[in-house]
Amino acid sequence: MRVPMLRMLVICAAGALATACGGDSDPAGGDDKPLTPPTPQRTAKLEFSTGDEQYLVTVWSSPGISEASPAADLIYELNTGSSANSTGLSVRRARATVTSANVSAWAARLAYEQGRRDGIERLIATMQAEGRTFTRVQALRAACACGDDQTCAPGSSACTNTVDLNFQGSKRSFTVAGNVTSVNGFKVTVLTDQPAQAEGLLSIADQFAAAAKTVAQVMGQDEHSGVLDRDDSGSITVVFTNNFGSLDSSIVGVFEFGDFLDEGQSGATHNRADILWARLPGASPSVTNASLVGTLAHEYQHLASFALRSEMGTPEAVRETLWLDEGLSHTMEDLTGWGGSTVDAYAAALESWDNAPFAGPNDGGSTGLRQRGRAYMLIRYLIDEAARSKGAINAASSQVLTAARELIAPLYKQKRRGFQHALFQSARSDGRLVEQLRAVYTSGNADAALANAAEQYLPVAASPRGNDQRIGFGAYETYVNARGQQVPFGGPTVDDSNDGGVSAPIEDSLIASGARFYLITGGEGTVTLTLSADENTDINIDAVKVK
Amino acid sequence: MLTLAIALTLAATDPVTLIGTVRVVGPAQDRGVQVEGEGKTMAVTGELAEEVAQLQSFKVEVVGFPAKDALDVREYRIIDVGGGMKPFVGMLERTGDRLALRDGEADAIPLNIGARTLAKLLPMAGAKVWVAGTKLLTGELKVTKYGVLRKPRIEAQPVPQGE
Repeated sequence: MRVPMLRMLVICAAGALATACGGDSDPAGGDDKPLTPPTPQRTAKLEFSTGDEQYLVTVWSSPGISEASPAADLIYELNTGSSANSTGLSVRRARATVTSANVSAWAARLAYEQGRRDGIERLIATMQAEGRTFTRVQALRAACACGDDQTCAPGSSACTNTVDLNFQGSKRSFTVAGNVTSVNGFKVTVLTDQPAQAEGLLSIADQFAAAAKTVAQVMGQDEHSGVLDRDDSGSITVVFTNNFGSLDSSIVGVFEFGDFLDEGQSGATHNRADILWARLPGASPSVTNASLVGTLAHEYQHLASFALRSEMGTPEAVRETLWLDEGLSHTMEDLTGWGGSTVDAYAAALESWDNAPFAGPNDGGSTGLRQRGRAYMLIRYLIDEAARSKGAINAASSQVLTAARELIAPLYKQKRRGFQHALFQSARSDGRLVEQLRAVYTSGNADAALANAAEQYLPVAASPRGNDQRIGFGAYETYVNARGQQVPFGGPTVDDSNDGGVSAPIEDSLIASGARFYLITGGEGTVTLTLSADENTDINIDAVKVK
Repeated sequence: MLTLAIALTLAATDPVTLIGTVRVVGPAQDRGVQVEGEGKTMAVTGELAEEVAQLQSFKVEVVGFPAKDALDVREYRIIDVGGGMKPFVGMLERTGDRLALRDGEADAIPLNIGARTLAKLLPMAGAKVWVAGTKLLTGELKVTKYGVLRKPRIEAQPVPQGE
């Protein structure tokens, strides 16, 4: 279902990203653009004049016209035929050498998020069986004019200092710590079971409010209203508590889709409100103010995505492919200037570059984390590329959010999922997908002086939030994570042990929707590399002179 | 009435066949597997569910018995791993320094794979896998893609006896 024209006009008139409103009509073609299987690129020409030139050769695959990639290894051969020009070629495989991704701390969060999707799937199955669709019912809390230390009592227009809510299987009473409204007009109601910490919680909520406004705008919404504001309270509720039931202590914050549901629906918590749940700061070393704001921005994307896709009218539409849903949430952390909480995902993706799909199966653990990092890298590149064409000079430029909205907002109005969205189909066919892979190697790499600067990630910049974090992606950057630790990335570098030349075909395998880099030097004249691989899989070769 | 009751009982125990695309949901340690067919999606449970999970995004046929909202899968068939190709399914068997695929019939099919992939797969001898590729005149199967359905069983190590 498209947004009614009148609503679009209102949004466009009022929104800070008004110039992006054209993007809401989805220039990429949306569900209407036919899915056409791509034609893989299987040869690449390398031109040598001195022999000292260095080429970056990338072997890569995409899901083609599927929404995600299968669990498969794709075997390929690279060869140069019998060309004398290839004598002396040096072929070295490049691997990323970075950091120490905090993978173990992510395991519980990944498991929780996959469990949430499992619940959504069960809900959908039930609704399909019963022929039902999502419908909104009477709001739990009607909007009313309360003081800053109160909120509207459930089911009435009276103001109250306490609210009873269900969380993790038990009903509890929470105190209103206060309400905050960011300078950009996003209101957050803060509840907690530790009212003595109210002042600190309101400070976090204030930072989250500004971030959530950005997330909403990028998603094509200019206010937390309509389907997003489940209880019509005019604000989003953030509940701070350390009683997360059986959830692992490493989980910083969550969105529970059951909070959104009507009575009687599978998984309903009976709260019927738009709520994000968060730990109290200091609950564990990983729960910092920075990780709370970043995680809440991440979870707000999940909340808004669930609300917007539910509104499309058919239960099937609710389901977004996990790789994309999570990739978008990680992108939101970065776009809001709170990407420190997602640095581990970039690091894991780079560390396992040769074995990291961006759209593969979601089996949790380190595989899930590296996949999130790869998905973020793809989405961030597409945004950077569009922002540069609007005049952006770095990752913090204002044009970035405008471009992000143009690209991302339409995803929430399309019934297609994952890689089948027109955005990714277009990126596959017009070359942006392979440009992104090149950019991982070339952006900020002094050893890639000949690379096309216009096809790289925007330069990483200081976060405008004044939190010492960095915004944007660069494989050679040093980031500050949400724990305040410096995380230096070494980027993809040569693994000399793989210098095998091409006296015989180079045989290897590649995980589906993964990529591998080679650095090639030492040829004479023209050398043609040929990739032999499964004919029915979108596996490709690309070569670009970098030095 | 009795006839109706018998008919319903029989219907409840009749195996159900579903053709569709595999989707994997849920946490890794307790994840759910679904097959999404034309207008019908069913969760897949049972001992083979973990194998079906490895086939995410591929088209399969699953046969099983309805159990609440799920299908207790008893057998499955991989229909398409791309381009309409049906893969070979069997156990990886080590023959000297090489690998073959034993699908339960006659001799194992020798696999034609390069050194790097061979090195990667040799430790997987004993695994149940699917492989797709081209049958060569030599009788070998030149593999173009593969996936592991079930990892090899780790043999118990003999426990040293005390003095």
